[in-house]
Amino acid sequence: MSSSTACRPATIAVLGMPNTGKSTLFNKLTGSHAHIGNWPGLTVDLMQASLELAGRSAQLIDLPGIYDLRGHSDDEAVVRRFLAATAIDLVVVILNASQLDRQLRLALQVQELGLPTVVLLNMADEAKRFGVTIDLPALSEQLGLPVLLVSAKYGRGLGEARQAIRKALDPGPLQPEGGGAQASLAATQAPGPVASGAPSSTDAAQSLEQRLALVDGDLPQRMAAILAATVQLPPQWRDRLTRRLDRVLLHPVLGLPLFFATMLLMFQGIYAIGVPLQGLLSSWLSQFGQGVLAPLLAGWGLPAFVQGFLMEGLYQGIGTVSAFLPVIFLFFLAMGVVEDSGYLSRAAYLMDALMERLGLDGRSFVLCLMGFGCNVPAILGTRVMRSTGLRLLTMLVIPFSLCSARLNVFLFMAAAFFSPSQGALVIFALYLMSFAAAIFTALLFQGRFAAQEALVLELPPYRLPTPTQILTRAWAEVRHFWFWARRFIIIGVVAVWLLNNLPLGVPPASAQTLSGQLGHLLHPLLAPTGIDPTLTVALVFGFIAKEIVLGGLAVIYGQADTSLLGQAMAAQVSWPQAVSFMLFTLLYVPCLSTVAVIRSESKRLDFTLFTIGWSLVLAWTVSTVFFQFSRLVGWH
Amino acid sequence: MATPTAPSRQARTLGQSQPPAPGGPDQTPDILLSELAAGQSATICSLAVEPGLRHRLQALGLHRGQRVQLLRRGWWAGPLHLRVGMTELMLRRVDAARVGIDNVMVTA
Repeated sequence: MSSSTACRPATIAVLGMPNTGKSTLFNKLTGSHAHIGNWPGLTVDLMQASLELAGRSAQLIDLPGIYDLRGHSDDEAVVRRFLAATAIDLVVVILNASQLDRQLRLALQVQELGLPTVVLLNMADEAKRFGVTIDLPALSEQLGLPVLLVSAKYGRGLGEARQAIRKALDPGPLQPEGGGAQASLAATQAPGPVASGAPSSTDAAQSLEQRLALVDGDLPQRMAAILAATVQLPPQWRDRLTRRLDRVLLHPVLGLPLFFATMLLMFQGIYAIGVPLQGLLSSWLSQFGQGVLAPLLAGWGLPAFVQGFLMEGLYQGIGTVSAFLPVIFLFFLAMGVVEDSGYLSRAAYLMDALMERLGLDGRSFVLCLMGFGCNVPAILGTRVMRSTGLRLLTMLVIPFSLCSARLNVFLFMAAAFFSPSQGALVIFALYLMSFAAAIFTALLFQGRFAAQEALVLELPPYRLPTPTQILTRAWAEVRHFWFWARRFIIIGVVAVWLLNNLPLGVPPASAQTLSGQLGHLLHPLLAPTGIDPTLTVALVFGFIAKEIVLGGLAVIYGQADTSLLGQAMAAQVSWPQAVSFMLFTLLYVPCLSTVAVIRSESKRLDFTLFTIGWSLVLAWTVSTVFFQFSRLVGWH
Repeated sequence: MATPTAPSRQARTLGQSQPPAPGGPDQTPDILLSELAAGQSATICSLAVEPGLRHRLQALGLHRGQRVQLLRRGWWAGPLHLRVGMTELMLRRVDAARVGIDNVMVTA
């Protein structure tokens, strides 16, 4: 009995405001082997990771960044519910040391919870640079909590932080054995047992709120008194770099053109480096398949059908998609720099005036930009919005963001049907189309999702992200993309191959195969768009995920090497057909994951169906208009 | 200097010095934050906003008695770029029109 507390891993909640480097610190403390944890009563995924602390193991849970324990946003409610329903051994509060003048508030609120707490003041480097001096021992004494300065970015103070956490978990030998160290709000507030499920957790969350409301009145005075005694702010603002950069980057006239020029340059850079890499990898994979794998399989004497399935189905499909991973890595690398440098928040400032007139706000624009990587996290990001109308309208618009999965398809097709310089223009035009579709949709539907929400956003100082920080992040994103996508890709390419080769005995990919029949069945519907039966099958699978489209095409045309695949396609498809196909691919439902996340975030089936329907209508209309126009002009 | 000097008990903020009606300018002698020019600074004296926004503004450092500085105003009637203590933030003009200020000064 006495050893049960020592064996059970401690539960540590990590709490902090947005823009405090909380996730970086979380990763540095735990070694970034985080996984998604499942918590009762929460609909949100929380990252969690284990940490070994001198003989005591602990689970660290990364709670969403919040401004206020009493705040009204979804994230803030999630944190309250978590704190109320979970038996927590320790709370680690992470504050931005340079902004302690306002962030101390959160520490004071957490203090009211009465849980064992350690306060980590992150970004110590910035506080020093900006001339903020903190009397740590005095602050620690005033709060009655251990307070430590750390810099997650430069890895400073982490060892001490671990020690402090370890110490706070085990206050000393006087601690009675048998669960005394464990405190739970649920246990102190509600009479029932801790893990009694959702209903009591809402009760506990309410009583937690009441308790916080009680002390809230005295909070400003207490905070002012503590700050006056322990923190010294610089008499003058010292961040000259931010001031100078903002003078140019937030310029009323130059600001926006500069931002779009930066974006254009960034995308140009990604293609200039990424596309040759992709070509190299693709031909290498193809040679490996032809030269090594195919003879090996033939040597084993497998039946032709199985050989074809393994080589032309699995290997070619997966190989074609993996060749694009370098491009995706570069994309996330560049996006990471833009975001961590603080420029992305400036984009919200610059675009807000336009977005306001579309019924959206600066955050919607930033989320759409994130959507260029992947739509799913962008839709999850709408949680920061409180107004339902604004949230739904943003969710309606995000799927038009040309995500990296669609980019794979477009890069390949642009190379197959156009010269390099024309191809770059086609890709650029597709990005413009992506913006145009979003703006048009917002304009058309803003009346239906009327929203009035105040917008206050922090503009953090400009920061130079460290190479490790950016590389780690891009690597994590690519890994996540690959793990997320691979089962779809594998199932997808296998299904495409089977449809193309069944029933047994008919010529592969002919009209008699299952896919040929499916294509012909749907053909009347898509005939005005110029998309032929073969491409129709690719579109059907693209509904599941766009990663499958390219793998599917590789399987349909029996070529893994993208340049050979391009030649095979160009022999059967005219360029206006190809463009029409790209337009359709850009605008219709991005993938099942996006649909699923829209459903779970909006909690409305009718809205989810509406987003699907609208995107299909828009895709069909734009493709048809383009294709019929091209016929009229005689481009065929 | 940056520490709040005025009593800023929020329970009293609304009732005492500022009627909750958003049509502030007629009834109060306050100048509004939305009227501040770039390069000027002022002290916040009233916040006529709903509780949700009040919490967010307080968490970002905007409370009664706090000095704020206007760095720039966005194009096309866009948001205001403010500096509050050690934090910079953007606030829409509509929302800034609910914040009363006094002690306006020109800062370098």
